[in-house]
Amino acid sequence: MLTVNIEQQQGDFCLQLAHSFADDRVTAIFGPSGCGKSTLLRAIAGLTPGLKGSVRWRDALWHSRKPRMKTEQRGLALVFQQAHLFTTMSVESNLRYGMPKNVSDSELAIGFAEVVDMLSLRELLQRKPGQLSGGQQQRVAIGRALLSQPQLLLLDEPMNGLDATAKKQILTDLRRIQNRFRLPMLLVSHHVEEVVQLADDVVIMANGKLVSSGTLQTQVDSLAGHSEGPLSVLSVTPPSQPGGRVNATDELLAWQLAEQRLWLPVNAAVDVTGVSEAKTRAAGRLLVWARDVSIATEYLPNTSLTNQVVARIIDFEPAKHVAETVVVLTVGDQILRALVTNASVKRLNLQLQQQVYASFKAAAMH
Amino acid sequence: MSSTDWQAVVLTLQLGAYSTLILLLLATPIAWWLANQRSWLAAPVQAIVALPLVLPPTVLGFYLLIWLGPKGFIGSTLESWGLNHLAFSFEGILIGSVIYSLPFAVQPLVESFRQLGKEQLDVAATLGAGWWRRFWTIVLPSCQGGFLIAATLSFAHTLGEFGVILMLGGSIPGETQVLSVLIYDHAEAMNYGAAERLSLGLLLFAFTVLVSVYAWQKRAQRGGRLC
Repeated sequence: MLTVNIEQQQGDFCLQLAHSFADDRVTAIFGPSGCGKSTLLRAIAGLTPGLKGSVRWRDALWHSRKPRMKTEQRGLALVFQQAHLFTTMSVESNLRYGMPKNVSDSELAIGFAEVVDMLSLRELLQRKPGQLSGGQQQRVAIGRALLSQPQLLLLDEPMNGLDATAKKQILTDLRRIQNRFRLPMLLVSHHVEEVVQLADDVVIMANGKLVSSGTLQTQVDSLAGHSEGPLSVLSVTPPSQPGGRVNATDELLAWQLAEQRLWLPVNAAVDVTGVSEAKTRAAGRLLVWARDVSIATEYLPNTSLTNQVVARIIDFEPAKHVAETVVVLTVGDQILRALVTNASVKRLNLQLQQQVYASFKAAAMH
Repeated sequence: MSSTDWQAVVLTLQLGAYSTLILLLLATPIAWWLANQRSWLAAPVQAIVALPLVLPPTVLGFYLLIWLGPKGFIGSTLESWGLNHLAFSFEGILIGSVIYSLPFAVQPLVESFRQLGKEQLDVAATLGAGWWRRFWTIVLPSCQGGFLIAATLSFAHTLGEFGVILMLGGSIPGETQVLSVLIYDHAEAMNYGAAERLSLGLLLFAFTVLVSVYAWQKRAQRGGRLC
């Protein structure tokens, strides 16, 4: 458990937070820019002067009025928004910088060779940081952090400023790292997609304060309230009947949502439990924006939408725009939200407990 | 060149080498503190360091002569311990030289440390590196350009020192008679040939050192090594 009870004044801004973070999973710290997420991470790392309060990691008191443990003694690693590689050193020297000395690779919990292969860094080892792309630099920074054998990995928006391809690669790497090393992580992000793909728990912050916290599933509404609009996070599993999982011609993969079959592009859903070779049997997680969901009162045979699931209406919620309504649906035991116009609700005569068909494009899934 | 001339050359190089070494050791923590300090104390400290830039060398030389001489608080204390006072001695002009060239060592290092930024050091700390390791593995290699410029300027400035040394050390051959003072002595004695030889030598040496430094600086900037 990481227990934080701190106060940090920086000019007009005040970070004030008391929370206990689980030490066996990924916790995303979510909130708009400037809400104090990065300051919180720096405070946990011991990089902010003038911090009041206490930070305790398991049995160790990291910060209090006295004593105050130095950053280098805390056994954590922090990956910053920029890679900040050591420019005078090669990639290999960067990676080895925090590794324990006089210990063979096989004795380490996180070995050099494994990290190099996992993050595809072998080709880059002899290069200098200036010869790498932004994405490559960030992968080296993540590898360097891992190889210091941290008990806790702090990630401060590590995908910020990267292009979509580099971002996807790093997300995949981070999931792989979590699956392989089961390292507790605190991930700062203001992108819902990243949170849904990586986090088990979510802490939502605004103006230097904690707004709400809990597991990802319990924080969906709060995430929606602090992002682009209503959304759903669906858990999907591989089909119970084996065979016919992959439609190679169309690059589609079958998933099961409750009792219903979905076809998603290969790699669209997030593997939350499996490693790459187990792709066909791992559970997955889908982020579906309510604006990408449409409702029909009967099955539509002639539509370009790939997936139609049978759902039941359980609630109508007001949307941000007065002309729209959020229709809350259940698919099995899962919640799916659809953003539709009030006019459509009237035209289709949608009622509570009514059975409908909800469609969403596979491209809208993550 | 006469033996007195050679003696002055050796003495000048010795003074330059010792001053540079002491300055690098002294200027590094001062520059580090100035580069990272935001308190009101930074301004007065910066002003004290920069004083030799604006003060006439004779003013500095005068005060040092008083303080380090037999009646000054430093000189008399040394004598009470059974040691010699420092006026008109090599050690005396070494102290004067260090103080006089201090801004030339501190300023490039401050700039260099500021450009390095705190982030790489923060990263190193999160990777378990203590202060010394961060200094040797990050600060020193990243700021080698700043250290080189600080060392060169300190050395070159020491070679060109005249006022402080004349005030504090006079012109004692083998003890305080450095090249700049000897050139003055030659000129005063109407020995223009000797003065010209030494002046030309000093000019060429200073020019060569500066050209080498700037060339290295350019190359390092292209290679991204300069802080």
